[in-house]
Amino acid sequence: MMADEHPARDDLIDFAEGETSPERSKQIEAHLEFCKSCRSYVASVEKTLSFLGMDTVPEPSPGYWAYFEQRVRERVRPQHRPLIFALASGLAAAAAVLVLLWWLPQARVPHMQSTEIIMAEMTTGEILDVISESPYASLVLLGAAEEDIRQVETYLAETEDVYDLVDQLSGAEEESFINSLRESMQENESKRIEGTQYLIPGDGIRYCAPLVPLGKGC
Amino acid sequence: MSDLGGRFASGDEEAFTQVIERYSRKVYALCYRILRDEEDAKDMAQEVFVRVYSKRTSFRGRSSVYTWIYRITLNMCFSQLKKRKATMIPLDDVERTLTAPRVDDESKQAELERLVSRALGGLPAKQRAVFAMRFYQRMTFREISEVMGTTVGAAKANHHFAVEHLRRILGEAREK
Repeated sequence: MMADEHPARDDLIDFAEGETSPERSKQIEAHLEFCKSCRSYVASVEKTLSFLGMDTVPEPSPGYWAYFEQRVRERVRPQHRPLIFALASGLAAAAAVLVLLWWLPQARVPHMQSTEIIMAEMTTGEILDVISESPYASLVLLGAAEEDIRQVETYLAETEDVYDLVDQLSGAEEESFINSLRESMQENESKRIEGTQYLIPGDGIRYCAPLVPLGKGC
Repeated sequence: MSDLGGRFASGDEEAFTQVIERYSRKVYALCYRILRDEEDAKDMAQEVFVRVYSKRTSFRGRSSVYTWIYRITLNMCFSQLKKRKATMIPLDDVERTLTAPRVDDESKQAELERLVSRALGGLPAKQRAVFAMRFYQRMTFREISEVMGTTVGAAKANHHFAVEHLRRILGEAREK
């Protein structure tokens, strides 16, 4: 970096937090020597961080901690559910998946076998519903990369909370946040399955046409 | 899988006690940082360990126990915020706080603490969570990304947005 080149604000924040490498710190310090606006920005971040250090977590009463485990254990005593209910809910879930698998290719777009076309005709809301109903099947149908499916499987095995998963796949608003995700996906692009669509976390789910580079055709 | 993780996943009751002893305070602190309400955080910390207990046999050891528990904590806190339907304190409210009259140094300090708390409460939920893990719990961006299920870059971006957002709000406060 040339000394007269303004560092990115992200860099200045890292610098104010003491997170830049020694070499980078020297470059930024050299720039700050003569750049009033960057100096003022760093000072303002440092001041902000010092204010934020004032925020404390209220300490619960000693009784709260003394009975913490006991209260948790009282809540986790096994509650026996009649077997008939367990069977019924299991069967209902299996039926829902079967119906979904049948419905996707048959009902939405008759005579078309291509997953890409099916998904292209669905709204984001509909796709989210499908994923919520049957995450494994729909991720495969969506053509998600094997690596992503494995991640989803890990996540579901550990939390089993599909709605939270869906929330993680959507919901971000900031443009640069999305860009940083795209960059990371581009890095992994070689691992992806060619000719398929990808789920892109960001402001909703977007689709890419087959083989269109990520970030351009979405 | 770590020894504690393995025993915990196999249903060892003593291991669960150790998990509670080791992580309950951190989980409570994170709940508070996200929910910004002491009573809600106390309830939520217990709920998290109820969930942790009921899911323990599904812990595969692909991540650390700590990361796994934090992920559950975040998911449950985010769900709670959604139920509240008010994750953001309107900026107008924060600005109103800033113009409150100052009487002496003590009230100025209290006012500033209140302002900081409100500014943190005004962050979007994910930024609030990332900022809490990074700034108050000194976690690395890699650890945060594992908890959040995102890339390191995304965790960093969320942190930078949070700092910039807080800088703007608190900076305006100083000017007033």
